[in-house]
Amino acid sequence: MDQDRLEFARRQVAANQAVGEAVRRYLFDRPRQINLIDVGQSQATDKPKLVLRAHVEQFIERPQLESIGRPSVTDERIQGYEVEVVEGAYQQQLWGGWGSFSRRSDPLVGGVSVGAEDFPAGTLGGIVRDRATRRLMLLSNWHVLVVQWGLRRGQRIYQPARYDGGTDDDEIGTLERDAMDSSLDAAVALLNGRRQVSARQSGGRLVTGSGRPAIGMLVEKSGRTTGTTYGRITGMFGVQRLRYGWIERVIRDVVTIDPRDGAIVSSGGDSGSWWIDSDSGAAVGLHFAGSDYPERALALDMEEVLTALKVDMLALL
Amino acid sequence: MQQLPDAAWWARARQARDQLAARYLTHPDVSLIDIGDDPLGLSSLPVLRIHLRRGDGSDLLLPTEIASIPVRVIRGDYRPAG
Repeated sequence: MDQDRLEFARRQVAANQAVGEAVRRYLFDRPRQINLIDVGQSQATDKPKLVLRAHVEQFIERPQLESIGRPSVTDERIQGYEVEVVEGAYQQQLWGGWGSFSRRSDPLVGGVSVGAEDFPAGTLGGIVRDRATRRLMLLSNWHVLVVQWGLRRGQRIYQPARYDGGTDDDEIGTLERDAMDSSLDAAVALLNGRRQVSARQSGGRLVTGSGRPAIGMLVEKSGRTTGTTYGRITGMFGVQRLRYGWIERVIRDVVTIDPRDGAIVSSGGDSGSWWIDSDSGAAVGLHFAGSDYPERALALDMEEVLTALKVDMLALL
Repeated sequence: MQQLPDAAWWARARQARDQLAARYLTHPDVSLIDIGDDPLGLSSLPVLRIHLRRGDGSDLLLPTEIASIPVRVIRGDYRPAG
């Protein structure tokens, strides 16, 4: 056995021992809701670095953990390994049912199912604040939160959407206003405070603020149907005619996003997702439409959406 | 390799896009008009793009360029994704 293989075997034994120790400490500590512990590449760096990974279906914020007497696992080192928390929900793949992005989310994060009464599900893009009142709101599309011409302020909003099993207890807010008069398929709903909020996306990504899109920018989104997908901005400043029910509208400030690697970028139910600059973490687009042939996503320039709706991004949590 | 246009170029491109939109956006085959990567890969700068729901645009009598910016046809039939 040469020196490299000996070293590899030594590291493997050490990693296995660290995993065993982490399992004893955390896996059966139910309040932590950890469903898998393994060793893998750190998500905090692009350089090769092995860490212990605690997989959770949904991130639990630090204050919530500390309130039940649990320090964050990321504060600890186990046998020399740093610990990172990654999001992952695993189940037997017996049939093609809904993914974890259609589940109930508390705290509310971007990328999960949302919808109005008796209408199909879309995606809760993320949390914003009213510029005047500083009250918390969720941002998604007009055709997710308003849905039909004539429906107005006060309409109840559910997470998950009724279509995804949401009940009366899952009412999270009411429709406040929309930007269709500004030729933007966007709307906000006032949150009722029944759930905590987070600046994270369902895939774990922290949204650092908002920014302008640019041709060539690499972006990613978390959506209710296709989960986290990756694209590249190929067009900007688009104007479009799109039919909403029986009325055709002109939509402006359209950003065109093509797949990075030929994979799917979006599908029905992803409307309202936020496209995020993969480098900076800034939200640059509000997903609202797409096509399958060719596979392509359309988003609205996020800065235009925020201005039209008079809201700001949630400060980081 | 795509060049990065300056602000003056973008202003000119958006005016050209407005001209295209005023003339063609009401055509039933046209779904979107934007400024983006050249689908033919011939231009080092972004081009004006007319996204068509169907057809090849031959009946639209499209200009080959506006304000020295090439006009290209690209396939795209979009629908709200909610």
